[in-house]
Amino acid sequence: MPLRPRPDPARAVRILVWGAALILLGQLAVGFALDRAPMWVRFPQGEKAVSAAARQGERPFVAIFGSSRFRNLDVPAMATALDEDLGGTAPVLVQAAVMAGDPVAARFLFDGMRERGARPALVVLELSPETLSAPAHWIGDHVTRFFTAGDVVEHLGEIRARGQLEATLAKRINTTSFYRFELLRWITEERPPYLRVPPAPEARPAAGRTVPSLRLVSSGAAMDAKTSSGLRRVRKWLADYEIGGVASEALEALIQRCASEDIPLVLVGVPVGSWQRELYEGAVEERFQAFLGPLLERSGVAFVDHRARVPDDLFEDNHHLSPEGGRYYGEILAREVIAPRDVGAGREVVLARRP
Amino acid sequence: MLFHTSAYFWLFAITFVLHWGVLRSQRQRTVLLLVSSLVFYAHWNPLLVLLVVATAVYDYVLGKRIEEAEGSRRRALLVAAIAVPLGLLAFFKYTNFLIGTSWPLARALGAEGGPPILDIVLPLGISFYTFETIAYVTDVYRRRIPAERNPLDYALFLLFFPHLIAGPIIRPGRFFPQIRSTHRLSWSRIETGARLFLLGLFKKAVIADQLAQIVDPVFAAPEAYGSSAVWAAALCYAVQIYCDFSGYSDMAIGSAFALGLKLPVNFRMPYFASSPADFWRRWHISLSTWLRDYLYIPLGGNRRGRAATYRNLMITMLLGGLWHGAAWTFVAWGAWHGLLLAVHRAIPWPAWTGARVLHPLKVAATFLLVTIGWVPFRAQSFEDAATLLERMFVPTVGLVLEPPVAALVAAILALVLAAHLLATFVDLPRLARRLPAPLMGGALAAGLLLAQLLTPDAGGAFIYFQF
Repeated sequence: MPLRPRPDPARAVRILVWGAALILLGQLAVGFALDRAPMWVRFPQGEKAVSAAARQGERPFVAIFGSSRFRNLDVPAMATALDEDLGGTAPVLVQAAVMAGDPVAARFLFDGMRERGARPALVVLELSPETLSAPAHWIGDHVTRFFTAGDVVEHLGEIRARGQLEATLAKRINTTSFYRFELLRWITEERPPYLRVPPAPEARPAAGRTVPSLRLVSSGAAMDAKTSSGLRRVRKWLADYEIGGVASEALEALIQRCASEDIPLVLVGVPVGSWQRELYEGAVEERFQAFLGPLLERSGVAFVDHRARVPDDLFEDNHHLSPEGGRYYGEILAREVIAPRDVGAGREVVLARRP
Repeated sequence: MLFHTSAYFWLFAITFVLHWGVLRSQRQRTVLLLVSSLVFYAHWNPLLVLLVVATAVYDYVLGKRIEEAEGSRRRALLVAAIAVPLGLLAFFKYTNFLIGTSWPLARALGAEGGPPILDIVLPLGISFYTFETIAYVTDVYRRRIPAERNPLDYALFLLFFPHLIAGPIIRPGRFFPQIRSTHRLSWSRIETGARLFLLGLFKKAVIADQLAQIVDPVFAAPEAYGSSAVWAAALCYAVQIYCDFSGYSDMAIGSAFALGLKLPVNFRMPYFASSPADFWRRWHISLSTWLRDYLYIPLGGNRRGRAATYRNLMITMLLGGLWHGAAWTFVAWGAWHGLLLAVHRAIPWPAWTGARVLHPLKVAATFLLVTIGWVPFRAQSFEDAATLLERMFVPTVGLVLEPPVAALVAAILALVLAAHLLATFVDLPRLARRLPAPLMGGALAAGLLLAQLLTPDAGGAFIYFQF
């Protein structure tokens, strides 16, 4: 391409202005299209949960909402425990815990389930001080996965306070780049990359699922790197701890909607390691209780505090259950929280034995 | 800092606004460009930016000394001015290569175990700015240009961010006059620069990075793939390296052009070359002309008889190969091109071979020979190169591309060929002038959005950054 400039600066300006305007318009248009896209485009994990709920039809099911911490629950082990306790009347369990799943994500998924006609017989929602804090820790993930342009404008203050303004602008103004894989998948109904060669035999992934190795973490043991970096992150989350904003609004809205539709809901204080529980002590716990107490009283919702129910050696890090921990605590959750609520109180609950 | 990242976008945008909107004198603009260049390099490695600055200071000082000196002192100063940057290049780029190569000898003398590998970080762009500094001191020595008096101008010559990492290799005689004259804001230049940048982005993100997904696995385990897959990977690599490097050059030239500075053209549709010599007049032009002017001609060029000409061609291409990377596979690539140039020169081509009707055949043959050369260039070892070449010419069963993937690859290669044909047979600048401004603006917007949409996850550094 020759570099000789064309002697028409006015035309050059028109081209650049048209180009810039069309780029901006294109990005905004793609953003608005994504706001109206099916859930699987931006939030495939959420779609999986919602469609699993929708598939249940008239069968009673328990929707378990939460974050990556509840995602580590061993749901098949929970189902087995429920079957043992309730026999043929055990409800189906729908794992609706998603990465970065706070009450905001739970409310969005619950609304999605209701829109598709799914009606949980029981809602179990993971709760911890950090999932209620203002500004919401995972608001950036919500912008990515389900916030519309209107939501972004509504919560701009909180987005800015969480330090997500630049990233949010990138998602909304540089949309084609940020959502390119989602867009390609939406257009072609196939995940990129499209240019694939069959992998050489030695490059093939080993058959079977890789089970993460267990790291033993106990109160007396030295902290591993993953735990200590996780604690650093949570300590940052809990600095200047306040409850409010979009997370607490979402929790209250979810409680209200469940009450109005006569769907029982139980809040569960998610198990965390002892090092993390130490971070809750003092002002954080006071504010958590000060918010939760009146809310529970007002709504009549139960809060089952399981934060200290799992020993430290059943965690992969500061707050994620190991596979064994997922099995251990899954049985507790099934027998102590779900089973009594489905069949009524008074039933004897058999605690899972430590593996 | 890669051209297709937001960090570069912000650096360029701030530089651009200050350059044209705030600063008025060329002096101020030179300082701004220098600061931006230092930020650009320091973003990768804040310490190694000192190495580039030290090289600039050293050759700036020696350039003035060379100009003032006469006779043997002048020559000695030239040797010193070349030896230090070349020594740094040798240390950073070739130390481990030399250790590895000489290790069999060391073992014969009693050394045990494997060769010790030093943990040396290769400073980005060192191969490029070393050649620029050599060009400068040599041109001063030959009295082609006066020594630069302004240290900031000289520093900008080496450090100017669009070309710092992977060229084009600029000549002092063409660069200094540009930064001495004050430029006025030209929207036409800016629009041309934007078009070039987008063209480069499209080549890099949409073509080169996509084709890498075919190339990388096949070159990583060639023994697993059948002949058709190996041919596909070799052809894809030929197009990938062209689109990657010419895409980088387009982005560099476009960025510089929008800032009022003109960098040399680096590619002229090289795969439409009709002979090996023609290929080197079209491929990485700033390197091939550098090698001609500062290596081939000083060696004697074609002035000392046939045998000396062939020898000079071979030395030039071998060193050109070694410049690309510290591995014998690069030397083999250089030797292949040296051989092609020598053989092409040696054959007394009959007059009928110049017939126009044969031109497409010559282009196809040159492309095939160049593509064969890319095999050792890209292969990780001689064994891999041998396996790939064997499978290209001896039909071998192995893993193949699935038909839809093969069709997509064919479509991309056809797109590149069609773009070459279009650029050859259609006066694109004239066509662009006739198109309405909204349509041209729309084409720019569509190009950017498409490039963003099709950028693969693994897309990243430019191939020539490693050199």
